[in-house]
Amino acid sequence: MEEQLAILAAQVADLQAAAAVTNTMFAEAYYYITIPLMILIHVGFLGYEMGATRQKNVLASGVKNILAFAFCVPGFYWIGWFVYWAWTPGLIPTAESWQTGLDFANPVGEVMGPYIGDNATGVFWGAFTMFAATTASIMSGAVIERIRIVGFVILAFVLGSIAWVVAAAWGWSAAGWLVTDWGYHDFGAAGLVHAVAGFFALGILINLGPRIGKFNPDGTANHLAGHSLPIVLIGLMLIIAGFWGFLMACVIVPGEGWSWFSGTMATIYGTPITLSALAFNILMGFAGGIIAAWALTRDPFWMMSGALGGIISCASGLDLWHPAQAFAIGATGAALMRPSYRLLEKWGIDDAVGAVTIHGTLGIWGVMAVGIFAIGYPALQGDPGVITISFQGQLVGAIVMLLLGLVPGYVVSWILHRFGLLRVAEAAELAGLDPTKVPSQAYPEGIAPSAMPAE
Amino acid sequence: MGSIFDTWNDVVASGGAYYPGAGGGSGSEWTWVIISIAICLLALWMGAKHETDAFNRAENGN
Repeated sequence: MEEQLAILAAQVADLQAAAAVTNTMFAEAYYYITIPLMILIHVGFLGYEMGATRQKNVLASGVKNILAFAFCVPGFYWIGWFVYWAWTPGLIPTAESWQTGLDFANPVGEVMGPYIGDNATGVFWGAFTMFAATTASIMSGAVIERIRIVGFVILAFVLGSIAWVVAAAWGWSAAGWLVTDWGYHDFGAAGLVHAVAGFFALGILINLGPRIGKFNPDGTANHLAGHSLPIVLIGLMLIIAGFWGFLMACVIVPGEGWSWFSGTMATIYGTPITLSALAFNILMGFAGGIIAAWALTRDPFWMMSGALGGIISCASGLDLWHPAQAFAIGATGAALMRPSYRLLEKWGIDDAVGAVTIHGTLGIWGVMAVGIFAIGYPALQGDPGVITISFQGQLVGAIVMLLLGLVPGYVVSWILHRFGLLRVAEAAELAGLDPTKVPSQAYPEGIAPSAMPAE
Repeated sequence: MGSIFDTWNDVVASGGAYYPGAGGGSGSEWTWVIISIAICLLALWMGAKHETDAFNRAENGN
């Protein structure tokens, strides 16, 4: 009998060990897969941005977008991942949070490289790097056809490796002060990715100025149509596809030493979630955005922007909404797009792809929707009495996100402008950036050129 | 900066880092991080120079 019990115990131990290995491999593969899915976001932004560009600037826009991605990767390796872990208490890290940064994200430490006992750090870093590159891609579209490449890369570095990361440390970590002190809830990063990137772009646009020909002397705006709306539409659909990876990566899988639960998926705040909840609400927000944009504009550009805007509008509360509620919130966001875009044009802002509107305005709407419709939910995992979601908490978060985008975007671009590193030469802008500086042609056999007022 | 292990069994048994120079206290991580930063800065400088030259040509009508 004792011998049989010993055998049984050994078999149970073997099974437990095998289950643990399987869980670890699942967790590692789960986040690993989010990375190529999120690269689809960049494929999409690349197409979106190039399609929205006039023929004479297509490849320059593509080069810029690709470089944003490329420079964000080492930038996030050197500094961004450390900022996420170390900057949770506020503007100045504490000794404890600094040490946390060193423990988890030291680029000259051993865990930030091939490490046989660590199946998590690399894949988490990779997923967060894709978030970082997404912020830079969002900004990239707004500034097409007139920004200098070096100035742009510096701005992409500041946004992707510092600005949004501070927002994430404050509002997308169970230790972040916005979460612990205000109950800020932003599951799908409507504020800390989209609003920060959108308003960072606005800060740049104020200093960068509009494209030549965008505005008439009386202040009215011209529509500078891109050379390929079909590429724009396909690009936007690819961004939507990539969003599934983005939002999948916002989930903490169970069963690991760093997990919140042994058998339940969690948000980054430790609150429970299922992928089923995401499937319901992403699709319903997406559909609400398209349908409202179609009803209000009939314009395919705004319809697909509405798809993106619908998801962004729902993003902060994707873990919480009823699906029909997500539909309505997405539709409301889509309805806000054109008024916001026209208001910016009235102010003389040339946002070439509507990035400030779709990501900035709707990012704020997404954050505030949680403060309106999800008041009272516990903001963190924990006992009764834990801080709850509130209107004022979301409002503080929205203001912080706006400022974390707008202020560094404006200040850094102002400095670059003073050093002549922001705006391309006028002659190059008129002639086109591709023939001026790109050693290859987008369409060597030619397509019908667009006729723009500036030409 | 090369391997500090004789066999892959040693790597598995250590449960630790195994990139070139790992665990050797050589400070090789700093070296490579600085080199990677230098490459990016050099690329930016070359990009800025190329762009400035291109814009000058455009402004001079060449």
